[in-house]
Amino acid sequence: MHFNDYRQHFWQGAKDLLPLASGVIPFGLIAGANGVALGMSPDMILGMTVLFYAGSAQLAAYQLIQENAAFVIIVLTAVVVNLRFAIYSATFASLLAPLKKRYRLPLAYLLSDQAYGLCAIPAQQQLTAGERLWYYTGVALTMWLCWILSVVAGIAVGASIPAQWSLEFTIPLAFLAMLVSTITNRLLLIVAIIAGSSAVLFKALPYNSGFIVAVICGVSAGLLLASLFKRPMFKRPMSKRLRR
Amino acid sequence: MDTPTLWGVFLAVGLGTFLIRLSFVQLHGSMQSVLMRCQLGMILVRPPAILLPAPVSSCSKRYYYNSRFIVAVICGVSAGLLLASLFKRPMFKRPMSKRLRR
Repeated sequence: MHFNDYRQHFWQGAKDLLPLASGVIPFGLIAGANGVALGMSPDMILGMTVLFYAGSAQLAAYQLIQENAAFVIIVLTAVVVNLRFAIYSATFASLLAPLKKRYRLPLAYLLSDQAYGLCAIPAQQQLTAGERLWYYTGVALTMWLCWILSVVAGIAVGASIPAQWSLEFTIPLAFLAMLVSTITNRLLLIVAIIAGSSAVLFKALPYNSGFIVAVICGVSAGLLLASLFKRPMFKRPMSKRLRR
Repeated sequence: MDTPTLWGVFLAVGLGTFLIRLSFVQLHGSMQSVLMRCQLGMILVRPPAILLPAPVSSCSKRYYYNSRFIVAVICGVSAGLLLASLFKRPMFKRPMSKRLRR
């Protein structure tokens, strides 16, 4: 295939990502402005944004930094929030694994919810590996740019917002919005309820470790329920289900 | 928390996240079948991981006894559920297996 045809897939990916930017930009603005509200310098917020490249983990970390949580708890929390990237990694493994390291590493870094949402759909599976790769690159790079620029805008806006507006209040609201979209079936709803109740129960544990205990309670309950009711979705490995 | 410790947090989380993103890509064809078995756990971990840090942790200190915060949270959740049901999202209608097939 000619390079121009691949370029077309790249730009198609970039174009397809743009409607999703409407959901990314406010989130980025919140991430940037909240960093300023917490008293972090712009270079720290940008460094954090580039290193994490994960909005939900960034907001979770803000929350724990604000509460003076222990180093280990912040790192564990953010990593747990980002565990979903392993699923995305599995989905794109066959596409990215054959690439040379100098392409594979940056493209793996660019994995995001939006890139997964656009590139893992069945229509994309019909394309050749080259076409999928260029499409993914277009989506992922545009997403990265959108995210970084919206955080930069958030930093710029955040500095002009008076402290008494308590902008950090938007963090729980952003999480609630994410939560509603994350709970996609009854099992996940039960997991969320059990984890939430456990977090309140174990709140008194030191170093905010109640959070980790609550995640373990929620996931264990979910695994137990899944095995008890033997739902079809849990019988086969996820890889096979995602492939279809 | 002082600045060097914060940078330490950023680097540790950045490295951890990058390794998670790279995990299956790098191990493609070798340990993939072992890693696939952990996938259900990874799916289940997301709601509690998203749910807990902000709404629950922030209920301490300033917000815990703030009735306006509680009302705002209840309104937010109710509005989200109402919108989800209004737009007839398939979230509670079909089993996950069917949705994943799409």
